[in-house]
Amino acid sequence: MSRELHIARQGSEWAVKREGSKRASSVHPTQADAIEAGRRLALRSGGAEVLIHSSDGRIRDRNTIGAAKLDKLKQNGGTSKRPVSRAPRSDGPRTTLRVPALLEETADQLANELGISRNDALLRLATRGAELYEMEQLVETRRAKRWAAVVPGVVDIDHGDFPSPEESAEAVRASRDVEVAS
Amino acid sequence: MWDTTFASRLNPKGEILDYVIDQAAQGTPVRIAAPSVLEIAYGYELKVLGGDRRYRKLSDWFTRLLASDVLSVVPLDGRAALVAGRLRGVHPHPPAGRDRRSKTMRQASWILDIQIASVAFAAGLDVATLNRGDFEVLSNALRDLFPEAPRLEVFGQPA
Repeated sequence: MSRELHIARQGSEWAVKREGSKRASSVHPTQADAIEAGRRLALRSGGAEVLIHSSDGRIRDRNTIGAAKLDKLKQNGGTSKRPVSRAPRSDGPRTTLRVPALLEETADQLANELGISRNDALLRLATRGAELYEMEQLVETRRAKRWAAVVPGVVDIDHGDFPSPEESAEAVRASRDVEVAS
Repeated sequence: MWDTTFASRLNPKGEILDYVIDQAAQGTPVRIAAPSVLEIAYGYELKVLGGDRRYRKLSDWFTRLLASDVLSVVPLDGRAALVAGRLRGVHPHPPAGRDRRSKTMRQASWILDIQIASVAFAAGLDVATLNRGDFEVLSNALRDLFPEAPRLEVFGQPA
């Protein structure tokens, strides 16, 4: 689950607080300053949900920053919210459409090739288009799910040990020294 | 574009991250080459496998940083791969120098540097690196290969 940050009034100032934390991460004279600080803290943490409170304490806005978008995707089971279009069927409802010139030309070409009517050719093209669209959607959904599976949950940067920048740079440099067994 | 020597200094506690976040906010995110991401992930993973759990956390944080689009990762695409292949052809081995590593190790590093230089070249970017010597060699090789192309500049500072 994504960790939330709250931008809320604290006395005459505005505080940035992590969800469940009693102490403010930082305090600012204006709400705008606090929102900017919250956004930066969210990015530092690798993404978070930033909830902005009005003076009376109610949440007036929320922003999903960075990788927190993937946390939402994971919570939804990786399902795409975009509607998937169905291929039209010849026994489906009737429709009246204007056919663009390019499509008309392609439909006529296909109709001649297969010895079918222009309407049948249009239906075949539309069905093929829908199939391709569904395939693209499938690939896109799978791509998003795989990336969501690679990206780990929220990392607590306030607690626990991190290697220093010098150590981490050295770790990467040292990896160039590792002999690969052949 | 930062090469691995700068990108590997990214850390939640480091000042360099402030610069990266500022750049992203201004719409000019710091760029790193996809092979640098490989090197960083590999370096951290080796540490984790060696038992240093701090690097699991750092690796997770780095992954989320990438997923947050704070950095712009420049891919090793078809153009870059083509340039890299030709570059490797004309300069298959690293320049001789005072390098205590084995030939195999230097060779592996050299291929990655070729890829990084080619990614920058193909994307129309320059390279910022602490390893200027090797990248100058690659820049010169690119100039010889593609004399009409704008030169790949090599800088020793991150900005």
